[in-house]
Amino acid sequence: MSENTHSHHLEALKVARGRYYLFEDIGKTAAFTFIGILISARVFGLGYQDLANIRFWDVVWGAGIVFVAFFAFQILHRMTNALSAKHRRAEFELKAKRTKDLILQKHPDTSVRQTNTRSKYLPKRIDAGSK
Amino acid sequence: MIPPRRRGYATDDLESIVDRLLSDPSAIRIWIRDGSNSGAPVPSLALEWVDILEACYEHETGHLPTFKDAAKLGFGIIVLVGGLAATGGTGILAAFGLGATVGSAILTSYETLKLTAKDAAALERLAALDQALYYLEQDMRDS
Repeated sequence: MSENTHSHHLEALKVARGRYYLFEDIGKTAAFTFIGILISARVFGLGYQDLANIRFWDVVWGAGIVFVAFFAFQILHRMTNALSAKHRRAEFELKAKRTKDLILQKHPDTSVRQTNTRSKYLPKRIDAGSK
Repeated sequence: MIPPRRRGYATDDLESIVDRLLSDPSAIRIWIRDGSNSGAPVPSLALEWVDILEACYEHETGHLPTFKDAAKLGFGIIVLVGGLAATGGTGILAAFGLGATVGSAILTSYETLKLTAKDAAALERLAALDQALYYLEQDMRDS
């Protein structure tokens, strides 16, 4: 991944994150749906009385079907993500192994250094399994 | 959540490393030169940092939604469908159905939004780790 691609990717993610949790968007959608219904009613020659005659339970069922379809999609999406996490980890491990091989190939006498000079980055190194 | 594999690093430390790399993935270049007199990357240190990056990656993927999260949403749908079916009834059953429908719709929506935000945050951090490993590899290739 090039530096440009990375920063572009990060920027895109930030923008995408900024789009969550906007109740304003939900309000806009509801307003446009309402306007859409009124325009459709006008086009199909339906009066306010016809709209008023739509049964309450029909609306509930209609909304329910939309909700169920949406959440079913979300479940599939999450399951895919769970699989993708596993895949990503394996991919990163392969890349890490390739990098280690490269280092050992270029510097065959390299051994992992024993001194803890990077302690400023890992201030609380603990023994494996102690946490 | 998938627990991070124990590699001997404290979770807090792994998170602080990722935080740092998130703001500047090229910081790894300074870290692998740490203590080097010539200014060139230190191979043994680079090996260690690959290991640390791997531990960070594993820890961060543990923040991605799992099958358990999907199952929670599945439960929400079952309640939603049950609620909708009950609204077809009469009296107390219809009232209960309407309550269950509205309640599960709100809760499942909230859960979905929360998971989506979690997705984005974890992916962003994983991308930073990817980039750091890329820098490290390039530096070692050029050294």
